[in-house]
Amino acid sequence: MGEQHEIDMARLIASELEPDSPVGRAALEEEGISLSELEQLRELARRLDAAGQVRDEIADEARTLVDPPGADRIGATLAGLAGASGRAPASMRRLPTWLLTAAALLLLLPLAVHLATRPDPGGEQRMGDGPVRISAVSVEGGAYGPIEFAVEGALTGAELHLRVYAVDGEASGTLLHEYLLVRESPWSQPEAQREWPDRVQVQLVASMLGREPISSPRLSLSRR
Amino acid sequence: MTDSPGTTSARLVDLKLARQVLNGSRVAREQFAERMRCIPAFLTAANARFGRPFGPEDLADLSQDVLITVWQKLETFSGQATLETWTWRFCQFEFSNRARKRFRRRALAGPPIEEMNELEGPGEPVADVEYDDLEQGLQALGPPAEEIIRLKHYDHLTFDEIAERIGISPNTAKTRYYRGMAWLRRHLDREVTGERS
Repeated sequence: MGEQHEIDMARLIASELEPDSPVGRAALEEEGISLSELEQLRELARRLDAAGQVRDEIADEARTLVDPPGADRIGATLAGLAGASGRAPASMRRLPTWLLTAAALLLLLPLAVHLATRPDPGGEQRMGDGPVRISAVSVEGGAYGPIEFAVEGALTGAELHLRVYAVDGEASGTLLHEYLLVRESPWSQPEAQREWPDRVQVQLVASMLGREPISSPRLSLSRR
Repeated sequence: MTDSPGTTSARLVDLKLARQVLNGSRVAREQFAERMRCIPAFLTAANARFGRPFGPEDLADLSQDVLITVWQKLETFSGQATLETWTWRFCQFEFSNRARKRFRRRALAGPPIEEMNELEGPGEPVADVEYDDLEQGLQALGPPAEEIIRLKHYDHLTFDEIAERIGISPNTAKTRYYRGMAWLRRHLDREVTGERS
């Protein structure tokens, strides 16, 4: 299954390409898709468009509503949910404070021993199940070109962001842009990159709820 | 509700807001509560669209249920859509679920056909079964193809805009779109075949 044919199949479904064109015929043949099957895929695309249209119309209507039923309860419900999730179970609240403190110290003791006796990790950062090191490793092409990232270790559940910092002038060190990434390398957005100043620094940041974010060293880039 | 390609910063702001809410910020929660007023608004508008199957009290209860689901799922909000767009999915799912249960009960009790017809809006079915199937199929498909198909057909983005939105190449967006659509078609076919057999 050739990737180019899959790309062309997407264009066929989106009606950007006609099935009787040479490229269209080749893609259909390569993928083993008949004209009637393509029509079914295009019909599915039309149904999705129609569903999107319904959603848009409902959203437009929703914007005109001032005080719909249930709106007055939103704040109180959220406060209740936040309170419920942040509160200790009732049985624990009845225990004396000194007993809870002693129990917590006992539970933390093995961790304290481990931290005191482990070998020097040498600046190792941890996220998820193991050590992680991230870095921006290379830049190719004009106008900054694609940026490649190296991620060593598991980043399960973490989100990756690319941060772009100013280098020159009074704004030096200021965060200019932040892009949410899926875990794909290389990263490239030519249109966005054209708006960057001539010299910037980029940094990859992995973050996970409840953990300290991990940052790569900043990589200096210059427009060629 | 359509996200324009230029709202990247708005989505990052939403992601930050969600995290602050999860971290227990009271100020963030108040802002979030204001944003979540979209839930009763969506449900009321959907109710009108589909022939008003629910009364005001039902809608208020439904809003509560959706809000609880949104709260429970807030950790999964990734900022690829605005909070309102993301919340809409839960509204649509709960609304359809509740409507389906209600009409199943009525059908079992043998409602007069005229009563069902009275509930219908002009030219619209009471429960949009086709729309429902698509939504369930998309949820079964899952990311990343689910997100790409939603962005293509619900947010009307081009492949280049989708690629920019989620930080992949346009060609990757196309291959994932094609594979997702092929899977979704097979899935919906199986659902229809399963219902018939």
